[in-house]
Amino acid sequence: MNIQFILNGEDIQIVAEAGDRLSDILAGRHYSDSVHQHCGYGVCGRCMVLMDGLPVNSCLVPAYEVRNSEVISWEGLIQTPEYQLIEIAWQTHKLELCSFCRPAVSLLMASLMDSSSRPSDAAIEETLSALNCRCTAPERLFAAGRTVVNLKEGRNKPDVR
Amino acid sequence: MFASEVASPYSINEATAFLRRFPQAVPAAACTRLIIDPAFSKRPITILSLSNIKELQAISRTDRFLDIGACVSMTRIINLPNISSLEPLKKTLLTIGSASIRNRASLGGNICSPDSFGSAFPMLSCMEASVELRSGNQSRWLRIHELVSEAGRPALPKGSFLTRLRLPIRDWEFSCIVRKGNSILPGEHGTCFAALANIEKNAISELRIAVAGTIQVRSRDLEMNLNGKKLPLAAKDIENSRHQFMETAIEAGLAPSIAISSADTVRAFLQNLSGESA
Repeated sequence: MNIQFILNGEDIQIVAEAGDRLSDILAGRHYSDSVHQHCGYGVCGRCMVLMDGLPVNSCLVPAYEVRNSEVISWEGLIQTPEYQLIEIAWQTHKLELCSFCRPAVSLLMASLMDSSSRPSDAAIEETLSALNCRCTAPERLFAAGRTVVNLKEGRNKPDVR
Repeated sequence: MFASEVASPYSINEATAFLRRFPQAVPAAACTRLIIDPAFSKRPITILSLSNIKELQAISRTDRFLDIGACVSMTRIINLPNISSLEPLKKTLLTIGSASIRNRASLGGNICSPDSFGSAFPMLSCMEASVELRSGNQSRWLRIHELVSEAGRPALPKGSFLTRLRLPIRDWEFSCIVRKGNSILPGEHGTCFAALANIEKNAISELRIAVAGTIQVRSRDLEMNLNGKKLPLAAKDIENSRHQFMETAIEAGLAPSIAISSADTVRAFLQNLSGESA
């Protein structure tokens, strides 16, 4: 079937089987190097993308569901001003993540910045737990997430713990 | 997932017309479950995608009920503000997958899984939810336990799809949700335990307990026996309840090891209930 969608601001038109996974399309056709199909069950979170503004596991998205939607991968995110804030938060908390976790965590933090209301501590923890990251302690990820939200709201002092 | 054909109608009437023409079609919302189900990985299936139907995304509230469209995502339900009667369901949904899965997964999809009960099913059973099913030109309301066959298995009527879920607006003082086993797909070794209770004048005024995996077990006799009991419950009452639930579960067809584990959870819930109310 023909599938049209927007990937990182560009119109994409592809032919794919209806049941193909979005992660296979993005990784297998080299649209994105940051998307990895690892567990295939939505557990590891390494195939994270933003779909219509929400973080989703692209291994659980069939191709036909992607039609007319807007998908942002890490390659698209790093072009945005929001990513600068994420980088500042990472430097503040000295986060060093592997190349599998870094894109997914960035996308999850970007989704926190897009929240309509100020995310609670529980919401930040819940959002960041979508990635099974073993590169750093969850407390440090949480602190960086809170800093990203503070920076987005114009609170210049990062929340250092 | 091997989808040979996909229909994405924009109205319920179009969807029912498609289902009349292709009764073997599988209705699906976000497909988060179908896509990992090994049963659908090899044989071709026709999918009736319901995700474009706006009516199925609606949430409405009256004094007595909350109606939730079948395709409303779990995240939207979790984020609904100021409805205390929804707290047990929110607690249940937070045990399902991760935030990124719940952004797409729908409550309707969880209820309608074909081979085993979704994790939300036992809690919805305890909450006495109702579901609206559409087939042909007809819509009908069923109580959720009518989606359970006599053998305790999922029994969604063929040729129909779920459009709405209706929850009574009613507060519960105590709620408990425990998932055991496989956390990805509830199957042979995965079960979900749900319980609700209210207490009046230091006695149990209402109690509901359900366990669901490949089959659902709800012992109404046990619930009746415990209703009206003064708290804290006597140790003998708790042990008898555990035993009664275990016997019901084994009789219903639950594997003995799972029945024992579920009965232990019943005991733990009753002990907590006794302790917390003291």
